[in-house]
Amino acid sequence: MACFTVNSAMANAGSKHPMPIKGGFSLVDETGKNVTLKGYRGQYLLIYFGYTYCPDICPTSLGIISQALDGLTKKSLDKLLPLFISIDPERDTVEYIKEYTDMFHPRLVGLTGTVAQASRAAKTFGVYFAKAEINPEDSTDYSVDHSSNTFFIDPKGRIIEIFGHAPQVENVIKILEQHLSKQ
Amino acid sequence: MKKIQLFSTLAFVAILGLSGCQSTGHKMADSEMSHTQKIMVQKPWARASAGMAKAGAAFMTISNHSMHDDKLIGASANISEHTELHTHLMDNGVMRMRQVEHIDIPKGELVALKPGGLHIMFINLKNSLNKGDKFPVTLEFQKAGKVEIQVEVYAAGAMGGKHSMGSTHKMH
Ligand SMILES: [Cu+2]
Repeated sequence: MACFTVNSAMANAGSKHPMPIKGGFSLVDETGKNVTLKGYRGQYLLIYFGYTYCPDICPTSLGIISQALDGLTKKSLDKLLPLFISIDPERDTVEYIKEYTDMFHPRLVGLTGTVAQASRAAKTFGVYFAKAEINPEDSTDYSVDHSSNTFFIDPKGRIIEIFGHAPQVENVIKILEQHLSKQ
Repeated sequence: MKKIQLFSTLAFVAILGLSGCQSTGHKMADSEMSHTQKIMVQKPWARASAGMAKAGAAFMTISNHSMHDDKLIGASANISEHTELHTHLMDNGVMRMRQVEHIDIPKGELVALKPGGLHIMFINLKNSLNKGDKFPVTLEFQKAGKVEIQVEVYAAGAMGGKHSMGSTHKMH
């Protein structure tokens, strides 16, 4: 459970040196509204990439994120927007991504879009994804290999922390509060 | 510490009562069951599935109290079209889910099927799995044969045992 791994060079950004994000994204949120990474400036973001058909890895991550959100003070929670970005937009419709994210936390907002839009978003954050185990009898039945990192973004649009798969909830809360409780 | 131990003992007894542990080799009296069990399955649980998701996963711990190494070679359930044994491989931060042919259950050892690792995978669920539901799954072991278990559905974001120990208290 305690495994804490972070991949890519970004991992070394750490909390001391916020890392500017090269690129951006343009997606559709769970209410059908067009959104961009730039449009989210001015608030803290917590971003996880996944897909709603994901049977284990995404629910584990979103479960941890939800527990962490519940562990924040109300004041801190108000400053943070948690986002779930689909890397499987072919199956993750706007309606469905809303239903899915609401199962985990009322604050969690789902984003989806076209395949090109999702790919660009993933590339911006160095998130790898690829279809795997495609059912030869049903091409809509497949799983998706993907990075399971969670990105913490500051109001200036810089990455301040990258959590690896299944981080300790207490540690996530501590790091989020360090930043969110600042004035 | 005492409390935790007591908790697990109680949970264990409850599972026994719920048919989590089945006699697998030969007939034996109920009273001696806990001493002569060969394969024991504890706390089997699954995650609630999201509306349209056609896949689900179940987790549990399996212990082998026999004198022989055994293998979990298959699982079947009527809640889905296919039921497979799966694992996750973490490769440079990327989680890859793959089917495995069997899961080794060495003698005297306890093997945990848990989030992020080994699991029983349900493909093409016929109905969504809702929190609080229970459903039967038949596990097939190479030596111990078939063992039927009742899997309980937890919340979508559940992590298994840890949850019940109260790690999610609000700190407002
Ligand atoms: Cu699986």
